[in-house]
Amino acid sequence: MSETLRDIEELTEASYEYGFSTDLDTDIAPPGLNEDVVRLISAKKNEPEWLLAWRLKAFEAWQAMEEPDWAKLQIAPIDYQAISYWAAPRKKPVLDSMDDVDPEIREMFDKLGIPLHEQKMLSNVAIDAVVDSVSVTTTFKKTLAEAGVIFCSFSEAVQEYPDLVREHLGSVVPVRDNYFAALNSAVFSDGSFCYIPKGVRCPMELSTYFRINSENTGQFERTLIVADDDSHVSYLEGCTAPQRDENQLHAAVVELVAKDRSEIKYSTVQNWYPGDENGVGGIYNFVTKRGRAHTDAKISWTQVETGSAITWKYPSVILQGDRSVGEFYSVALSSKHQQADTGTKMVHIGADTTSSIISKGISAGHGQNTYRGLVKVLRSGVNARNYTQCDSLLLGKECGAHTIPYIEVKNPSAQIEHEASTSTIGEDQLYYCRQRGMTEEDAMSMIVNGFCREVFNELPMEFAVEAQRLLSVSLEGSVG
Amino acid sequence: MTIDSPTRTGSDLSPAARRSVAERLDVIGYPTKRHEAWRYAPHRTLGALSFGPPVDIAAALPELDAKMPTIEGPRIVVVNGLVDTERSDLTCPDGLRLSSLADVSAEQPERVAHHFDIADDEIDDAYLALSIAFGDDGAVVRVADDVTLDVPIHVVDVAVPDPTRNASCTGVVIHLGARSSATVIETRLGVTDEFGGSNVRTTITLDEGATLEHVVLQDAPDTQVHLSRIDVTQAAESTFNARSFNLGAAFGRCAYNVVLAGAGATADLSGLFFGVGEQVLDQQINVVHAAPDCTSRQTFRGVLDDRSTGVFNGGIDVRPGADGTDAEQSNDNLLLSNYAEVNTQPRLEILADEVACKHGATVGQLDETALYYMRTRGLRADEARRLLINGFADQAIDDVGIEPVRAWITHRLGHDDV
Repeated sequence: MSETLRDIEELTEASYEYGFSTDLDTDIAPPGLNEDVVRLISAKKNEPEWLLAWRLKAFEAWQAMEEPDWAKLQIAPIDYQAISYWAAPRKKPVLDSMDDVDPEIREMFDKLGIPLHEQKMLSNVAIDAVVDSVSVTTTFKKTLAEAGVIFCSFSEAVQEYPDLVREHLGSVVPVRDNYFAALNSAVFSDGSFCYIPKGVRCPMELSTYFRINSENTGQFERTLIVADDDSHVSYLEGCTAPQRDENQLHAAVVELVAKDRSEIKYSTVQNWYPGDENGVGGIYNFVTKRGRAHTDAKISWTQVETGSAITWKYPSVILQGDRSVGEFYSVALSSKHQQADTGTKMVHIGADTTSSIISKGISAGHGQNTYRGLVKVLRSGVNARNYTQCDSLLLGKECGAHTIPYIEVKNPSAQIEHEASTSTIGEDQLYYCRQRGMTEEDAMSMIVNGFCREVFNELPMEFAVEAQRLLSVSLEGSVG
Repeated sequence: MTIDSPTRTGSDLSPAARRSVAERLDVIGYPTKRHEAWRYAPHRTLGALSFGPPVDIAAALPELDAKMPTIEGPRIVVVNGLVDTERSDLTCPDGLRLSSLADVSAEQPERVAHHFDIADDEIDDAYLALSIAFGDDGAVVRVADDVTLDVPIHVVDVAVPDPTRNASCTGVVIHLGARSSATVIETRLGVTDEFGGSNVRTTITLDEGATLEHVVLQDAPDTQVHLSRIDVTQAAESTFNARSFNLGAAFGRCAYNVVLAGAGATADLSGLFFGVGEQVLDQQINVVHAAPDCTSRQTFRGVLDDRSTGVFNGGIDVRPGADGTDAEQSNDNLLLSNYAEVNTQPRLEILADEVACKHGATVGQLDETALYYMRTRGLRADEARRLLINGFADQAIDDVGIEPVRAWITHRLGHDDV
């Protein structure tokens, strides 16, 4: 505990630790979006014809769609024509060893604390680091290759494994799925691709670190993970962005395909720039994440959302196969003027499917936090089982916590339970801690961490530590 | 949907205002599936309703008397949006005034002004607009300060679809004075098997320390649509106990909007919806905590059989400054058939700290082990099933304080046959 507290004290000095901007020589397209931009992106990436056609179909769909307004979010209008849809570091090094990586980029990652150097890699994490739009370096490729695991940038996958990509791209999130998914499908720049062959347990945890670097660029990355029969993979995703005054748009799509008896565990710590004390700036984070679980497969989403000015994100599981399992563990924090509308969707199609949802929302400052979830049992979902627990914690007079669950059941054998509570930190709890010699801030940090424990327990070790630190830093100044 | 121009004479309550309501209707339009509160409603059925000024059908309705619960006490019967003086009994004990809405509108419009004068931007629902435009008549209940009424007041709404205009609107205004106490039972019925419907809107005002038990018995024929909207404003320390039984109609909707406007007020809403055939039974509840130290409870149970659909959309809305809020909400549902469906949405929207809010929802089927246990004790399978369903539903019935009402519900649900 005392260690954590010291960390908090150190961190409280910096308001947004990752708010530096590296001066990379960037190849950037002029702002604006039209069919030519889509073609340009596709050409820059030397994409096959079918992918360009797919992008154009998405662009056409997007043009006919309207921006959704159902979320409990106050968003200043987004000018999609003012954003540049292509930014790539111009010096693209050939990566025989770590030393080949651009020193500036390496320095940036060092500041972020990613273990990119060889000696730091003992933490057994392979990283596919994404700076703006192009994947810069991928480590641990060899170990993975030995196991038969494919883990590379999306662009590389398109060139090297076109059949795999073509088979699964858009199979879980179709191009017309929603406004932001359609936009992403049209202009996605890069992302990660991962394939775990039959019967393979991925020898290490896979990790991607996203970072928005250039000003006025949206980041539209695409992640596709395919776990073949009887395989297992744990995937970590972390996000940070430098401090900027303008709101930056981030519309990502993540697709997971878990084939028979496989398991995918997807963990996210999202710490994009949340904007300043007055609500100026910050990332607009509109993410579509969805997995399809086949027979006996399991998909588990764990997310810790502490950043972004706007979060619009509903990691979902389509429980298609019999006995498939979906899980969602979430901590969402909104402080300052942050707004989060986040939750999950569990669609029970197969028989004997199970899902559980644990959501912890924390609102502080002027933050608005909404849990929005759907549990849907189709007529075919015999013996479907869902347990949902949504708890909200309110810290302060100006913030809000909202819970909007939808439960739609068409099968009588389904058993659905939903529980939710909203509370504040009790005077008596704080009093007790203070009596034991803790400062009010320490006491609050301890209580908040306890509130989130069920979710933190689901995170891989190093993420759990980072998540706790992030939470404490983000809550700085919210006492009282 | 068709509507006539709302220019009925007979009440001088601002026809101009009413015309503007019709204009408002053009602006907001009829709800669609995209409207959150109407997401699961059968829009095609609703579209077949035709509203207009009330049609006076001075017909003998022998079936009506058999359907109505027998409750001793003052009674007002509204048929197709017009008070039926023959069937009503307006003799009142001291401290109670029971009158027709049209009469009060004509003689003391200020007493019911709040029922009609609703700001344009608050008319967000087409059926509210129609109710303002056409719901001239109905009932007005006024209980004086410090009066405790022993007998329940019975308000009966009857829909008798007319081929030219199959839907009617009724208004009910209830006002309880400070520290008074009363029970109002609103029974909603329909006769004939023709398609049609009724749109009843109740406005309730509870002064400081008043206590109202309000029961809705909705048992319209399954060929009709019943739309009910109940708007409640509560002053400090007042208590509103709502008991809703949403049982009849092809589409039966029961919407409550309760505003806890004074400190220390309590709202306790409970209800049962029991769907058979192809019924769609929709409960829309919104409780607004606008003052500190208020308490609210929502306890709704649904039983859905055959191809019926149940909807529960319950909200707790805690406004800034409503510290000390204690709010709870639960919705438990029993699905009895492979084709039945339930959609439940328990919402919490909280903008104050120092609150304790909880909600829960469950969906399940009859407990196999309980059925098995009863069968080992010699009960037939169908008896055991009935017993379990009755047990589930009875929790809602137990909340009703008036014996004849409880008896009517148990009889209606066929419990007394077991």
